[in-house]
Amino acid sequence: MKQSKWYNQIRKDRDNVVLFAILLAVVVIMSLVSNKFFTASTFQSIAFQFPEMGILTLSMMITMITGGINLSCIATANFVGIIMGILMKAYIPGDSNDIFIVLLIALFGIIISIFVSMLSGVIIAYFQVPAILTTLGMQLLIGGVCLAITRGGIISGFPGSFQFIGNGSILSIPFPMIIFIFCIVVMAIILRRLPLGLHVYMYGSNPVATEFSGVNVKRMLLKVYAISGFFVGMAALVLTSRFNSAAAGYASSYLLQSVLIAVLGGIDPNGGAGRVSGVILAVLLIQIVASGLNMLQVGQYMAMALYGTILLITVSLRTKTNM
Amino acid sequence: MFYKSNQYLRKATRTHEFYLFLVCIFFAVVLAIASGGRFLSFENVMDMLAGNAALGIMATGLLVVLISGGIDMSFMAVASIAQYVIALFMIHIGGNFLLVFIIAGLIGIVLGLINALLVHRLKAPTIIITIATMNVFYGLLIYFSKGTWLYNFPEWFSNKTPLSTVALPVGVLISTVLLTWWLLRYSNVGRQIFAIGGNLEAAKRIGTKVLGVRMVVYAYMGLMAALGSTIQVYIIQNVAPNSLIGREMEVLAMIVLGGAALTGGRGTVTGTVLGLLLVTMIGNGLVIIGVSSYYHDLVMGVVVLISFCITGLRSSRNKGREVSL
Repeated sequence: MKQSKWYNQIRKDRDNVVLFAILLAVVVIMSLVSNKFFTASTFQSIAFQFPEMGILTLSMMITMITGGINLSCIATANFVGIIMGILMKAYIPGDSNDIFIVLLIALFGIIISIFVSMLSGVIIAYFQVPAILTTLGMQLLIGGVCLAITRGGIISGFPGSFQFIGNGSILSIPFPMIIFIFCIVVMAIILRRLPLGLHVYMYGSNPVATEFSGVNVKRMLLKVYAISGFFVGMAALVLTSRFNSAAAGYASSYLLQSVLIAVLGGIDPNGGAGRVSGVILAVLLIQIVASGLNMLQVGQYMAMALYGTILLITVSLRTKTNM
Repeated sequence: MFYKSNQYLRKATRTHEFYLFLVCIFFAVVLAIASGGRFLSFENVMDMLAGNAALGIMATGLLVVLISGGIDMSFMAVASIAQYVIALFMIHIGGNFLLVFIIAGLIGIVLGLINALLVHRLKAPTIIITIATMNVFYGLLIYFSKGTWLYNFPEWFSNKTPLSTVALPVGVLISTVLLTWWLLRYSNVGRQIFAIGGNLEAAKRIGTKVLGVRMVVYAYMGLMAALGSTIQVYIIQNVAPNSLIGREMEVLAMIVLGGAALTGGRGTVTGTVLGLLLVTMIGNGLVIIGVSSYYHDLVMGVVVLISFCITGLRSSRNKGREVSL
């Protein structure tokens, strides 16, 4: 039942079909270029890596559908990681693996993330500052807080039960993957089943009309950024656990990548359009490209330039010219 | 221009710049008292001026972009490239001051024009486009330079007298400020920059050539970024390809503090200069009082967000007034 629905959706949607074709092409080219590519271990490592990217992109996605953006997501994730790290160091002695306390701390981390993102939401909704600038400012501020807390140092060495979040598997399905699937379901329900989802798309295509049609726009924006914060918190759990450490400057290259994936996945940067299925395909595509580049020993900075170029090309194909 | 003096005064005291001026004086007094007068000593004031002239020069360029309704996140990458190329040029070929400025300026203008074309052709928010170009420029720079630092410049460049360390940066800063003021206030293009920033559709209807204006705007930004980074090389006497990246927000904060609208169409050079003064004083004041550098980003973040909130509130209030009229 679910599979046929998926199939129809892909058939209906040209963009997703194109993405899927590119995905296949990339896989084929990669396996031709490098005989190390098409192996179980590659896909195993991709399965562990792409959930974190995907969850971050979901946090970017819901804000981009409203025509905003969340550029402070990486800084917030680092902040949450640092807070969780400090708490775990303080309350979990040496070798013990108290799952209850770990869960409590994880929950606390997610709540903090929601509140931090809601602060951006407050500034965007009530002070009417453009989302881009607000979240850029928040990035600076939160990064500053992280630096002030850690004094440039690294917090590392977490209990085994916490490391399981990022590195364990249940029935040979990586645990990060399970978290990602959970997040996808949450996102899909919000966007397709709840009134909030409809309002998000409405606001993205015409904010003024949405306000005049009786939607409490300010409260809606707050909810949007809270949801974005929830996903950032989930991503922070996976990231911190996988790195087994937390510091101020981690994962900074993920920021551009998540914007790139969102645009590649069919989300209009001007707001109003975008679907979860496109994002999933785009995450997979970029992750495979990334591991391929890694295998071909293309340096980090060349990859950065390449992602920038891909983003420009995608934007030019996705949006009609301005003439 | 010829107001009665008290009328002029009354008008002036109601502007954003006037309040900003008061805030600047307040900060100067507080910091002077907290540091026991050291803050206002001649050496420190000169240090502040020379040390932040580079960012100030870039700020005048970014102000023009902001007024035109866009934003440029790539200017620090442009500045880094210009800086690196002139450093290579000086070490391997030589040249003189004029040539160095011309080469840097040309690089800035060319990269700025690339931004202008992309911004004009693609229908995505300017910030996404310039974040993409920032990554392209910066990624390529680090890839080709391999992150190596450059130093040991020829003698004509590295021999600094106490006078020239202050005179060159401040001189260039003052001339760019005056040039920007003239551009925005008296030139034909300047009026069109305000027009496309205020209402793009209306500007198109009255026949503004948007592409041309944008090319001027982004080329000007590139030029200022390149000049600023050249000044920075002169002061620091070494080039690290990653030293400028990440300081965009400081420059943006100066302009927004100075009262430029985030959505385009409004902003003054006077405000930007006062914003530059305020950001400089806060940065320098923290050091003088002895606050650990770990707190620097935190304080800047608070200042930036507060300035965003104030301008956001102000412009939304103005919007309300326009509707009710």
